[in-house]
Amino acid sequence: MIDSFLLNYSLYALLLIMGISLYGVISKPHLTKKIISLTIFGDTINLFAIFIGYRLNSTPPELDAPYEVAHNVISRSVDPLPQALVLTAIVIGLAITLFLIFLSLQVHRLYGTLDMRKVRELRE
Amino acid sequence: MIKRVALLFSLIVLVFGTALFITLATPLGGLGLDVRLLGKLYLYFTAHENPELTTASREPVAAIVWDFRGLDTFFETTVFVMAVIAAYSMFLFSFKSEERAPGDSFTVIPRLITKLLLPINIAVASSIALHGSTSPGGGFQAGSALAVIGVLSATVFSYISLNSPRINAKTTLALMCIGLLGIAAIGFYPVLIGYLSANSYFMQNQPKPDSSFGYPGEVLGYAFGGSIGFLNMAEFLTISFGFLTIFSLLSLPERVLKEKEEAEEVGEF
Repeated sequence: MIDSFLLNYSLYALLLIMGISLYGVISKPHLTKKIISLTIFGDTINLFAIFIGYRLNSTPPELDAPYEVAHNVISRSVDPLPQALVLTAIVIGLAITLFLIFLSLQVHRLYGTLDMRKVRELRE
Repeated sequence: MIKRVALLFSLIVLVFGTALFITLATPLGGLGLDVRLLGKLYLYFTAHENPELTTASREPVAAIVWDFRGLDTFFETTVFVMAVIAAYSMFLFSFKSEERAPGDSFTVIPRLITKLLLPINIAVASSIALHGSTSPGGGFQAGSALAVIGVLSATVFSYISLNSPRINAKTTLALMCIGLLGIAAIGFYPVLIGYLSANSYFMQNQPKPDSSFGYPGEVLGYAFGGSIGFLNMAEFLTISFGFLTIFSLLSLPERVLKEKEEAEEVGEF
């Protein structure tokens, strides 16, 4: 009972952080703050994906005995597939963040500022 | 002001509505009760007694990342390297002559401790890469652990340590390309064997029913994982030097960038 309550509570907290970081991406005018909010959003979604594969009262997905797959491991371990897919997702999020940082460096070289309101004025 | 409050309120309502839907959606199975059949199948086939059905590795996550879904990882490495190349192409300067600016480093204590920590970091990162088939770890995590060296030396020894004539973005990029060639070689070597003697497939790990080629599954009594072990080592090289390229480009201070931009405008490149 307490285990499932804690699981639901952490799920609600993750969804709240997703909403707050999405608000940060949309409504902050400075480009670096947008990038920070986007990074938080991506990391929270990766954590959410790992949570989907969780199982209560479980063991990590490891096979200790040499080449002996005990039925216990399959029936008591967490799902290894979301963890493997999240590895790829983290690296792709990192690549996108790198690209955005260097784009913002170029914006700073061209306009001298990173505040999107001032950039909009400078463009006209 | 009212617009912002409305935006925040609508986002919070959306978030809690989704949470309620997830909790009440019992046809989906709920959370935390049982694992999907696909996860169970991957766990079953990771270390099988039949040598034609096993991946010779004891870590299901490493087997999924490098063997069952190996092509995904292939293209994910491509995406990461494309980001590094895009970053590198914005800094096409020459690093031939750099003088050490005075007063740019710390006192003796941080420098000595950092000099002691750098080889320890390399050892720990290599161990994470090498035991990627027997416990959680692998190439990506080891590369990220080695990237701390770039941050430490750029902070403690100033940006000159990563932008000198011998260690600069060009040499780290070349070492990253050597790691990439290693990954491609491990993937294409079975195809070469397939043309010469036996029948084998691209990125094949262990012997299959219709092809007898296989990478070594066990080394000195430890589960090595066949191609998984080799791919972990090559990916460790790629990711760590990719990160070092990024940090050596990002550690250039603004006055150096301005000098180099003016030099570029004048005509000396």
